[in-house]
Amino acid sequence: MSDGAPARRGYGPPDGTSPYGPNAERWPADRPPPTLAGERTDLAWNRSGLALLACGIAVARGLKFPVAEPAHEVIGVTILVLGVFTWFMGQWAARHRRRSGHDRQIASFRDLAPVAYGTAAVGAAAFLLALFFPG
Amino acid sequence: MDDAPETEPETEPEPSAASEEYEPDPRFSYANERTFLAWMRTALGLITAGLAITQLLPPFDLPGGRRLIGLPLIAMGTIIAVVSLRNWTANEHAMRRGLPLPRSPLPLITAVVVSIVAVIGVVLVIVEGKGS
Repeated sequence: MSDGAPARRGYGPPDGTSPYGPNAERWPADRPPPTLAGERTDLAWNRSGLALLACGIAVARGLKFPVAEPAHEVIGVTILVLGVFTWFMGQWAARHRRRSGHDRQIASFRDLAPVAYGTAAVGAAAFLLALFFPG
Repeated sequence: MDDAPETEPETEPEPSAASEEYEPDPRFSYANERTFLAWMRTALGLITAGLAITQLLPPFDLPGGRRLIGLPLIAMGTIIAVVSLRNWTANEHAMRRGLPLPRSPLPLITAVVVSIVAVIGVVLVIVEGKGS
């Protein structure tokens, strides 16, 4: 009975009990993956990269330090690099997803961790900056 | 022989729900990823707002007034960045096992912190207005 599995795409348990899953009728193997959901995810990556870029520009241009002049530019450029990295990562993932024609390009922990920990590092640096060097 | 059909269902369906992992429909994984990214932008927004308050606003009469508003926002943004990654992982695991999604305290904590900061901001602005 459950040997009909090769025909289906393989999401969720074969008995169809998972709430996150099996849509054998709606997503047969020869059908392209759900592209609209993928497109929204690509756009979310795009916005996240742009948000980091804006944060980097604000730091590089707007902050006042009592320390050496280039310090804020160094921090700003670091955030900008993180933003460019995020943006390009999103674009690369989107391109790869469109080209490959399959839907296994779901982000892994290793994809997301640099963005999360990078943002946390920016936050920690901002906290120390705001605590000890208010403008 | 009569007992046999009763014992079979006990061994089969229960473990399949919780212990085995299955690839979820990609739309759910995409939604999980977008939620993570939305939290990441929220974190960045809070950090940037906190930095702008402490660095760019003219000082209040109350010493440390800008930091009183800005530091909680920056701290909240930093916490969100780390916790949202943990939430993404927990959601992904739950979906693969067919379990209900775990409830996150992050929306409540964010709402409380931002509300408190907003109230402090309003009080500071009112006090400043009376003083001038």
